[in-house]
Amino acid sequence: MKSRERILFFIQLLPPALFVIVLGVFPLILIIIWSFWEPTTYWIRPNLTIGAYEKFFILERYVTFLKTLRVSVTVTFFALMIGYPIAYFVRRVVSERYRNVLLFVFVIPFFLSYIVRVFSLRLILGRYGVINNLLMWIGLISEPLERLLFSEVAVHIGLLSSYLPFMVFPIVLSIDRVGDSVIEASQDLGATFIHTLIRVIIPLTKPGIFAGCIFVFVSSLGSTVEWDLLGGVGEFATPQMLESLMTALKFPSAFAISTLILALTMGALVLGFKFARIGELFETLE
Amino acid sequence: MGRGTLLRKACLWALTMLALMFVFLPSTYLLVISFEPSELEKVPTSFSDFSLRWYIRLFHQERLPAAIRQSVMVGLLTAAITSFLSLLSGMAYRGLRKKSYFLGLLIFPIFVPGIIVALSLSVFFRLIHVRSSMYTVVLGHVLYALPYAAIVTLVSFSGLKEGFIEAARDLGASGFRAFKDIIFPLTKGGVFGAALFGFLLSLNEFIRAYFLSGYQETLSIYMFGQMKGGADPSIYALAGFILLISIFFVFLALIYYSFVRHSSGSLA
Repeated sequence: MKSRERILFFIQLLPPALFVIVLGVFPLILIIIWSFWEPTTYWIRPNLTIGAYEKFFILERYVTFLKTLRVSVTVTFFALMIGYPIAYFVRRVVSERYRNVLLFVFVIPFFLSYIVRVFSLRLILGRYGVINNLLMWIGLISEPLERLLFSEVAVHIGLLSSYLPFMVFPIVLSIDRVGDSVIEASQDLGATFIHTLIRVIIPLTKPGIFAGCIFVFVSSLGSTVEWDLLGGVGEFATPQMLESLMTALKFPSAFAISTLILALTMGALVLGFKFARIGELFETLE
Repeated sequence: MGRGTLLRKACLWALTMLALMFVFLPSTYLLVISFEPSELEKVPTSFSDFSLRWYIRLFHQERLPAAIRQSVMVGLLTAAITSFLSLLSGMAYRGLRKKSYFLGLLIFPIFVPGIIVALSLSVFFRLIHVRSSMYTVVLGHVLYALPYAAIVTLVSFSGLKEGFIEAARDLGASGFRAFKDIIFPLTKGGVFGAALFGFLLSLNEFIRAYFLSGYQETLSIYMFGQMKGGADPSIYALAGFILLISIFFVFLALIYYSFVRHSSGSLA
């Protein structure tokens, strides 16, 4: 009987675990290894070389890479500056009933088409879009602003609107874990709001801050649609570069850039788990 | 309450509302514009002006029906596999000693950029000689939806007390009977949620489908092509149509979860 239960346990455990290992982890290891192989005309062959990484610098692919990094960092910064107060508001200020409503409202975008949401920003930022019309109606400008759409500004706005909800959730979770009593204790001891915020709440919610930042950063780094639909002509980011390298059958180069992105992502995750204890966020499930 | 507190509250309210507008206004605006009969990108001037002209125009788009069929098939398969794997994860999770390793593995794919997942899967399939098809897209989509679906399912399983199952077994219920009468009824909210995540995330997913699909495109790929190509205003109808499908399902879920309250299976 006991051994039958063991077997049953493995029958339940193995399918989901193997699925993620085989399709979610193994292919990543594969492209890391293959980034050090030699390109042939149509594919690659096993011969250790760092040619793909050399080309990354010689052909100045790193310029595009750095630009994508810069945009991702900026977007993450703004998402944190806007997302943290919202999370604080949702968890600490509104009543429990409104809190659930607000949380639900912040989940909805997740279920709506991502490309439609990005595309719809064209109607807002375009030459005859909502913002230009509004500004002209107020009288702030007499001619429509040309560089609002199809520019890096538009890409920033697109990324921010796509990923802002993902900043809010982990922070709400981590404020939840701080507990009201700690914050009340700080206030009872005479600390001002700002003091409590800086000395108590923010340090204790580091896991949520880190998780949210990693999430927004990683997602921005790998986004194509915002650049494609909102960026200007010739506006080119790492994901597009990957796409065109793949179509041009330059596999090791595409794998090398993927490896760099993966290294950044995994580095951020390791730091997050080690120093900000992101794992704590999931403890409620354990 | 001091004046400082009140001011702070007002600012936070304003910021949150502005952020919600920022997130929701563009797509709402697009939805309204899709009902404007003329070729102009504007809000219909009066209620009687709302027209389905561009929606009807969609019937004439040749490649659209096949793309819709493909997306629905991929979505249903993704929903079925995702909810099944989530259910298994929930069952196995109870018996695990090192829970955090399994949880970490399940949610790991969230932290890998979509394009890297898509690219690595496409070369992996090439390695094992699997041709791109509907099924490769399904596998990519399950990998994308599983972390979220598994979290929803695990939350619903956390309301399941070990004592319930032991009691059932002590009273002579077989393992299957305990599952059918105790475990599943108490956790089906989570499993339903997992299926919903699978379907909607799959329906709206673009980059993985783009890299993994074969000859037949999905709805998202078709729509993306139209958006880049600068099509006529029927693109707003197409986008509006997709928004409306998703909104319909979100409402369905809302009704389901507010009427069928499970022990602790809240979505948030």
